[in-house]
Amino acid sequence: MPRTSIRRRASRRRRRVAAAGQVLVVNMIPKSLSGEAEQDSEPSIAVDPQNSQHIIATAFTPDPMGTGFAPIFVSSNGGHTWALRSTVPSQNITGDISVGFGGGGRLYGGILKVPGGLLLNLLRSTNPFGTTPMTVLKNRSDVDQPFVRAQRLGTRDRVYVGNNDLAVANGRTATIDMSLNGAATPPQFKKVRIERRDTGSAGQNGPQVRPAVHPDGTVYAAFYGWRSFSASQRVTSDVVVVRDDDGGAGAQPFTALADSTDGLPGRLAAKNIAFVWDARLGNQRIGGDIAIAVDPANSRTVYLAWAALEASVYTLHVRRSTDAGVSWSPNDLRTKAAATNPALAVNAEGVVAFLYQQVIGTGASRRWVTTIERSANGGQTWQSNVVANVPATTPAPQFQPYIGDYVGMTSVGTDFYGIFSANNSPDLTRFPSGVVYQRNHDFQTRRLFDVDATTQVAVSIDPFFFRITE
Amino acid sequence: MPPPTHEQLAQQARFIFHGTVQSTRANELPDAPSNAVTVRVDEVLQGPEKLTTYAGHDVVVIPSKGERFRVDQRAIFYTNALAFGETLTLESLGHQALPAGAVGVRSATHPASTLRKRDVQQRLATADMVVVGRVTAVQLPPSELTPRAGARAAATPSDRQRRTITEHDPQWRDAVIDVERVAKGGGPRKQVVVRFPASDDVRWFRAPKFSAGDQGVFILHKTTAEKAGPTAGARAGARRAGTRAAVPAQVFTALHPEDVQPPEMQEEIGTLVQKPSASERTTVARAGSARTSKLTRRRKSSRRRRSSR
Repeated sequence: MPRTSIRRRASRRRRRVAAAGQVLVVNMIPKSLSGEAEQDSEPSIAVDPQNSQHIIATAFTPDPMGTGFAPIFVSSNGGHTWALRSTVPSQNITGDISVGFGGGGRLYGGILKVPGGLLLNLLRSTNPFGTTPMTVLKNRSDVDQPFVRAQRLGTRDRVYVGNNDLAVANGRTATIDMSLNGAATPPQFKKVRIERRDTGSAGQNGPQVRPAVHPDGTVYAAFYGWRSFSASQRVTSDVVVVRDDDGGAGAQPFTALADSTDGLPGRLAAKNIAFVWDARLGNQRIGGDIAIAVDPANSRTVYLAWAALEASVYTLHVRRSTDAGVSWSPNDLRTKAAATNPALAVNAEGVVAFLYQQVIGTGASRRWVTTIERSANGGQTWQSNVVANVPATTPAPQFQPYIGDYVGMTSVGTDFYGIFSANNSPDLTRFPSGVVYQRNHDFQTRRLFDVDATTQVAVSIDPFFFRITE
Repeated sequence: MPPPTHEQLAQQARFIFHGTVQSTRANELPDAPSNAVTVRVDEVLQGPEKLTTYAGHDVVVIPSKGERFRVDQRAIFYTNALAFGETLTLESLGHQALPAGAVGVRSATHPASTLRKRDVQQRLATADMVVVGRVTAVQLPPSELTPRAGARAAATPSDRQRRTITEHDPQWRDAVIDVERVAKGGGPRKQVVVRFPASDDVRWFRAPKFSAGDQGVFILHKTTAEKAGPTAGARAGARRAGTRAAVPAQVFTALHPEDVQPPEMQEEIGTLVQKPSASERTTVARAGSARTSKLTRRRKSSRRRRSSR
């Protein structure tokens, strides 16, 4: 591309980001479920790349009827309104859930099924907007935190599910379950072990194994390469990035990226970092955070976020690679102390978005502040939108995770779509970018009401959708 | 096959209400089938707590195969939910038409209590043992005595049998219960040990937690070691170390939220154990002559219908 065209494109992107885009924030609990007061934490989101009006989201929302299936949120109008449909084959709720769209409107899901301790189910639906339960493609035990990414490539769906396979005998538990044709009947999945180093006294990797898929077939995955785990639950770890240039189709999948220090597959983007397992930030448990996103216009540009202790404070770091993960920016593009739940996405024009949730303040006045920052110039400057600024200590936790061990964000075209969980008090001052409620509420009195519009409903944690239209 | 009875429908339906058909076209639901109807809920007879305030509100009902309704028709609707959106959309399992002149139908108990009681009944039906008693001690089960990673820093090979780390670790504990009375599942016994997850993780937080001094009715299920034995990590850790994780014999668990009932429920539970098929009944108050309508429609395979939609 001629240099002047590149400059023009970059200039156009900067102007758009500077204009702050249009931010839509929607409380996702539907009106017919206005009496809901569950802790709808740990959300994930998938947008159909062929029809961005079609969006599926999940959270730890139990089936309101208790019928034996767990629900998903569906929107067929770009996220303006949402409905809940119980089509996930898990008893009322899941132990973990994430979703991703392939081609033809097919939805893939990875869950920990209930009942079952760590029972992985890989799921598919050819019509996630219908009421037919999702099909179980594969299941096995002793698996933690399945994290789904899918990509239509030619006529086939490539499906990648990052997970921590605790059944592995050698302690190298970071795993990708992948299928090169997820739409097949039945699809073939294979397990790829992506940790090549010893995990030392930890004897396992961290649960966060995150894939990022590019349309040209390039697939990255990032994970914590745990190296020790102390009696006080202090973890030391590397942050490892692996890559495959053909979607994992070859004989040695995810070995394209080696580290210069030991020659082993898996670039060590950060070495010897530390954090405490099952510590608390606000009311939320913490124990590692990883996010990775690849530029859809250039598979060599990839962004990475991770958490580590800095001066005893749990801190998020964001860095960038422009050479397919070989080298990383020497300094952080963003550093966020007392923050968790990073999510990254890059839009069709190369604008990167960084979503995170940060605890601000001290004691009873602490706030969970959910922020989206975007950069059109590779992380030199950032435009910030706070989408929620809510009390960190109310409501009381019903369980862990309080707001989630992860959030979700993706892009289609130039738009960003995301989801986070937060205190649902209908107080407009707490949603600086605006908010729309479907459930019965009164912004004047800041109260929630049941379907009868008179019975007051307690504040709880709800999922919130957002869309940033560039 | 004869049509399902009122009691059979009541066992299958989560949401039962007395309603009046408002419209035979459910215009608000764009993707609803053409036979969907709008029904005003007059009285909720059975349903989860969060739906008990639906009286006076319209819902969309998708009839079962062959089921037909007319405007102003009143009936008891046996339903399950299909979707929660702007409006609640329900699939009908069947209905019981109410005669003209019927002034109302009321549940003898709170609608949510009725559903809870039904759930308790189902737990009782599958229980291996039901006891009335008091928790005297809570202790670590033998399988949880293996150390976590890191606690084996200077590990000997035998130390390497351990629990691995997951946020979903159930943190099993054993509650020792002094048994006052056995309501189901064998003769008199002095004690029973119940394994329970102490974890507040999403996977386990709804399971009852026990403390010394707790009294109640305990609905117990025998559970295999796979589900309530060493954590997955312990098994994997053992595999890594080339050892074998301690696999306990079958243990009793009480994992469902309704598996522990307050002591004052013991008489009622005793009755339910004696008559597991009994279902909650509704009281029909009619101004005119009482006439029991035949159940007009039957439930086909709900899942089959959902699949064909």
